[in-house]
Amino acid sequence: MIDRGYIWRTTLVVVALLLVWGGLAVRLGYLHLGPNEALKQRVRQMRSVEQEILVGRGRILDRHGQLLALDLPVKNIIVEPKVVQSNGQVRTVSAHLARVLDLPYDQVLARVAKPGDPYEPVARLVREEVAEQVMRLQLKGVYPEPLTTRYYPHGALGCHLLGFSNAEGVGSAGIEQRWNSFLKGRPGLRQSERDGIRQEIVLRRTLQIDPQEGADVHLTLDLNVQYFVEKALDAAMTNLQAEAAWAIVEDVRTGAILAMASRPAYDLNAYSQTAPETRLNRAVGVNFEPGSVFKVGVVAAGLNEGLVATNDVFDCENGMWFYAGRPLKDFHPYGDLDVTGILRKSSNIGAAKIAVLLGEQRLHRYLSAYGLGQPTGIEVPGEESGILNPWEKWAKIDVTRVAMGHSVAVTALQMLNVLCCIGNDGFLMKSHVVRKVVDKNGVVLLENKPEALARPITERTAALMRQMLAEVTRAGGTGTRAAVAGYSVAGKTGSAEKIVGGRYVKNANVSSFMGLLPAERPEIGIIVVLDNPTDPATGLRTGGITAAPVFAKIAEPVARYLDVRPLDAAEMVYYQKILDGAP
Amino acid sequence: MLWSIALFGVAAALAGIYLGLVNACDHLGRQIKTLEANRAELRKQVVNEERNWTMARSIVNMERLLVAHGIEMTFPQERNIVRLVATEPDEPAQYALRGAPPARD
Repeated sequence: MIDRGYIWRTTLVVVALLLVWGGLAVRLGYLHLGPNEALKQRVRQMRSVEQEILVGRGRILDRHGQLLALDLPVKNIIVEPKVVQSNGQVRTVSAHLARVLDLPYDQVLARVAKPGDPYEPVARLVREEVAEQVMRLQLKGVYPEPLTTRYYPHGALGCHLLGFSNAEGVGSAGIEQRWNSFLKGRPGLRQSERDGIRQEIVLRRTLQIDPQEGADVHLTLDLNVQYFVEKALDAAMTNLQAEAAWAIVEDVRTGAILAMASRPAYDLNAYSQTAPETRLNRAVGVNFEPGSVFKVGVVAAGLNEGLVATNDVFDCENGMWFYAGRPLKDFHPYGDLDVTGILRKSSNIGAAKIAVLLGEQRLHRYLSAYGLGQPTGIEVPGEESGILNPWEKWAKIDVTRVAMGHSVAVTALQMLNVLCCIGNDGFLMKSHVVRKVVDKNGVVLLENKPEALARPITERTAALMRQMLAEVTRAGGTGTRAAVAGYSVAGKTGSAEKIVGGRYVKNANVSSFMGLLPAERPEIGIIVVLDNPTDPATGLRTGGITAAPVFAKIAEPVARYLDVRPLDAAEMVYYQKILDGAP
Repeated sequence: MLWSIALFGVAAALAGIYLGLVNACDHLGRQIKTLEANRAELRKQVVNEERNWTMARSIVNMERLLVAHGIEMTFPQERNIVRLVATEPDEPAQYALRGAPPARD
């Protein structure tokens, strides 16, 4: 016989359990079927995930496909000092990390020994290989934190032209800034759900918009030419104690920029530690009074108008000439000089007399046709337009001052374009540094073709100018130090007193040299500008003494590297025909 | 009785198919996740290798290696170069006039 008490207890337990289960079932039914929209919404929110699919910026490459800027996966090495300290491994861990990360031991120790710190980055932006070495050590409390950073493999090489993108991935200088819209790409979007351990459930993906990766920007820049230029500028900064230096190498026939460099420079991977003035791209961002290099444009205008011939003789007044009641001096006194001699000796008085023959209006028309006083439109930010006042506003003496490169201001690129126009049979080409923009599928989004902007002078004038300018680098010229073995160089020296705060500063120069190579059929044009250099041997600061040797240091390896070919006999015959004015 | 067994069989078969499909989809989902992770990893490796390749063939690195191995190299002088010239040389290229793409661009 079963005990009645037992039956009661069992019934009670069963009823209790049924009540509990029933209650739970009712609650479950209520939650699922009842009016719990807010609650359901909360659950949906917890489970749903909306994720932005980020993509890296596009790459920047030189004309041969060498990478200049890319997004690189790197790692921060993080230490949990609390964990390391609790294991009593502070010194051991510090020693290992210091060795592998190539950091000072004391610096690592100071971070690892921080009391009560749960998170301490010991090294930032470490390459994957190095991070793997750290992980192989299997140190407790040490782990890598993956991230992607903008990386510039060549450090300071081409820094002013390339620019950089900031921590938010926005281009903030140079090509990175100007071409940000192409480089940045477009992030994608994914809507999905995740499970209890916060893993995405792929089957519940409701929306997937693929990201559009940033396009690659291919430059006309040649990394090796850039290296030759920067090496020469570094040497000039050291040897000539210049305050700054900048140079450009341009393909004469196309206007493509092969190199553009400024000094002082900075490491693009540490741009934040650099003063803003160091980041200035002086090649396009600094206006300067060009001095005698400007005579090139003036003499070419005189020749083109038929006002002077190469062998016309001018009285250079033994170094002192008064015009509009103001004296004009030459660096050395000269008597009679023909037009070639005016360029070879860089006579201010001779150039001024040609300018007077031209007249203000006509001279201004030519200078405008060369593109002076207006930006060249090169695809980098911060380009200055130079200063070329309207001729109506010129004072009477200005025509003589402009002739020798005073009372005007130019950028190095503008000045080089004038010379390249002479090198390119009178065609002024549009300077460009971006060759093409290509998306990740290989579709060319934009391509820059060589573009002729104007033809201020004729083919014959250009050839005659090149012939005369070649004399500048030969014996008796001001630019003999720019000569390059195996080639004839057509060039011009320039020296101008520096202007600080709107006033000329005595004993401070901006010296320059620009040249074409080879003179007869130029392929490359180079300009070098030095801010306040001094030749230690002579104490002189003129362009012929300071900038011309820097030009030679650039031109020689560049000509060899690009395999610039001197003219053969047949080409010389053709060149002579142009000089002779044959149809 | 027979009908109910058949109905049960059909229901079981449908349930089995449903479970099989869910399983297959789950498997595919896991595969997609794995492949996505693999692709991301491979992309990282490609970028790293591209960077290493660029660094290896940069002129700075070449010069460093030449110095390290005590090798002196210069560009050949013009007299050391033998050129093969076409019998009918072109006139000097003038891109702006001829409109043809220049050799170096």
